[in-house]
Amino acid sequence: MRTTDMRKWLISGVVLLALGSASFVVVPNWPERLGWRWQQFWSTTRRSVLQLPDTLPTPVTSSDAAPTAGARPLATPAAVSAPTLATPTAAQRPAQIELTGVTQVWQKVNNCGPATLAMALSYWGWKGTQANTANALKPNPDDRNVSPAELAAYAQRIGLEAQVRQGGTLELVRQLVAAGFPVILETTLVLPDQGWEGHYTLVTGYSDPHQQFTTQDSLRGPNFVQAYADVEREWRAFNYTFIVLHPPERQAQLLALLGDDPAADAQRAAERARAETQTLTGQDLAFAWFNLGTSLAALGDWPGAAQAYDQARQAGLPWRMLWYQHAPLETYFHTGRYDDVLALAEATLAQADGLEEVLYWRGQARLARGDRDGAAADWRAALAANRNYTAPAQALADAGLNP
Amino acid sequence: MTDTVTTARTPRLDLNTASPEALAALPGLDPALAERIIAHRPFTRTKELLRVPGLEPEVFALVAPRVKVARPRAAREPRPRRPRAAPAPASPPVEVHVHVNAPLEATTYRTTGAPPPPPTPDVIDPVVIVAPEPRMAGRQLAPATSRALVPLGAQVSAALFESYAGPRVMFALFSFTLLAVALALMTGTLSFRWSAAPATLPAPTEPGVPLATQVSQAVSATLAAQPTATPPPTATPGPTEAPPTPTTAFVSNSGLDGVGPQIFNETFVPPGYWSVGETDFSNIFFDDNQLAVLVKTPGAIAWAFNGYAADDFYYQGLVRMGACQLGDYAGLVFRGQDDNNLYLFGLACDGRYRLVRRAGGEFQFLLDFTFTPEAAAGSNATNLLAVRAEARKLSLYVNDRFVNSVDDVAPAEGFFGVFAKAGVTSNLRADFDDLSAWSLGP
Repeated sequence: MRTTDMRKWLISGVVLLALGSASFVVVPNWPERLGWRWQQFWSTTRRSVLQLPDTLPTPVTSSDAAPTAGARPLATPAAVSAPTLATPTAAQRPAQIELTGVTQVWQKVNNCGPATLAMALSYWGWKGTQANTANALKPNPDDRNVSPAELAAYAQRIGLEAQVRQGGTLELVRQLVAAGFPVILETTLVLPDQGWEGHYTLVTGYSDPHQQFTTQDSLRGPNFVQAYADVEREWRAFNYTFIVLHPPERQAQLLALLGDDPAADAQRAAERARAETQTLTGQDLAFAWFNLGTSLAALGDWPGAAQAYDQARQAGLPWRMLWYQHAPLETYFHTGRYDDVLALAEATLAQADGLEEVLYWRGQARLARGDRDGAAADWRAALAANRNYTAPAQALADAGLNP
Repeated sequence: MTDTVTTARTPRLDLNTASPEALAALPGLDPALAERIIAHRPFTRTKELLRVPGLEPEVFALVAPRVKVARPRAAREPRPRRPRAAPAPASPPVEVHVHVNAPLEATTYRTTGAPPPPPTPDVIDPVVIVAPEPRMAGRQLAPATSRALVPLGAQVSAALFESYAGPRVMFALFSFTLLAVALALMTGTLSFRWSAAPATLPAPTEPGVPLATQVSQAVSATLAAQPTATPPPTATPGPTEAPPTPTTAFVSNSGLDGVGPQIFNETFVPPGYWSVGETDFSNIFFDDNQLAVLVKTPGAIAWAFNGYAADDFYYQGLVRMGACQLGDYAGLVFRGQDDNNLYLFGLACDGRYRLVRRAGGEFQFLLDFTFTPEAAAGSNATNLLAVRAEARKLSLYVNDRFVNSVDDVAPAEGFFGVFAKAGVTSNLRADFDDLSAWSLGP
């Protein structure tokens, strides 16, 4: 080998060594990233080997299915006028603000809920870590989803209060931050090659001049800034759900901003979603229909909700959608469309195990179809996935089965 | 490398197996000193010779190049020895009966090759397998209540250069480089297009404004005062009062109430210092962003310390035992002054907890196995264990719920760690994650 060649190899080796060593130091959170990549790799392999689709199945046509909803206009909801809140306007709050005092928590795999909750709690002086929240929220470390209600329940357990609302707006988030309340958003993460996933993030600041929020993100890091428009787009898939923690003595101040009428929230959210279905396209349109379904379900309008979910499915919902939101299963169950419950549940469970809510609703549909053994198996699997989840235990007891 | 070259080097004696005669024949040593060296076995590194009374640094300098400490080879027959490296005669397998202080059971182990250690009743090392780094034994604790000890760099360089291991080091560096490059590629830090793939997701940036600038502006921004470099706000500036400060007075009903500054938070991302390593009876290692303690032999116990110590603290961690049976337990180590003086708070496979004090090498059961409904029992269950040590009072928590408290007889500053004890299970594994400690008091 010539000397110049050797030198080239030597230099390449040294450069690689330096870069490699540096990557250990400069890449924050690298084992977590690697573990996450590994999990994604297996998920992708499983999906490609089994030829699993990227979207959830479209509505099932069966004897008990509703008439094809796609072409039918939706019924107008009974309640028409949503009360409006007397919230301050943008002119009455600062143009930009940053809340400090949040301790950054880097999440473990599938742990954005517990990690974000720990960050939000740290703002209020709580001293725990992701270990405390994850231990209570995810007795099974492989649990992929922690619901907003579970996050709120944990906050209440340790002496704080929490408000979980849907149909939030960017302006409301800014108002809350200006009043000294960080806001947890249930939102979306779309990573290259990995597709759509659910996520939580904590908003601690905003800047009107820059048209951006400051977030404390368990995956993307502290003081991660995001444009207003991007936050809204990512937030849409979860019907603009948000959680605000507060000490009991500040409840009055918070409710003055939020209102205290869940039905009014749902009504406003439904109207907004209905408006969005007229303007959006593609996956955003699917989310708008989905949100309409969720809001109508919250108002008890099961047939209207089922029709909206049908539209969402025809527009194309991402395959992970039911990891996080289960109202479609409940809706189809209440409208007697058990085949749709089974189709959605099976499409979701084919791609991931241990989704306790999906197992629970499939169990209900199976029981309705007369498959008692199948129902019992699903409920037991749901209990095994999350021992704190009471619904399957109750279902087993109601059916006279042993847990 | 040829035989001619290797045989030109002086054979080194293994400090753990060499006979007294062979040791006494080394320059600077005499039979009395050789006996004292043998009494200090086992050694994990040659530097530990300096702890032998009467062995002066000058003598160490003479002896060090002529001795070595062979790495323990778990569950393997000794390799055929080369003539140059066998000063001690190979002995047949010997059964060693070690009586551990009751009620830990007397246990029998089969060793190979090396002669048994002196059969003193207090000897517990063959059963109590501690980390292979007895760094803390005999070390004087500094008066500070908490601090990190032993910089990682110092440990690495000591490990690399204490004995001649050139090829191994080169191999390790090579593997490390390959791994690091692969990791950098996988995490997106490094790509074949060098400018692409940022470490984090791209932030939505305004054209012409670097991200870092935006962050600093956002962080430093106050209500009305605009940085001179930023354009004036389009929205009407609002009130100028400071944002409301959060209320901190709420009671969380857990041992975390009123804790002070955090001493450490170990999520193993990446791992901090822990006394990891493998022995014949245990293996303590990092795996999947956790610390794994594998106890190979039933009846054995293994623990690992990190580099932090405190006297009054709240210490917690997630503990997950793998396949386990009655009698297996795992949990937290605290106030560990050395391997013979420490406390163990563990949770058994059946959900009962136990608090053990080891003082002067003897185990005392401050709270024997006690049932608590707060614990998740069974194989693969995860529990959050916590200890609040406040002067003499030790309070125990399982899954953030208080379960019991006892008075400690001799509170002292000590190290934090984790442990696993196998009752009847072979290869009992316990995983530990998200370990944190906070100091108490001002």
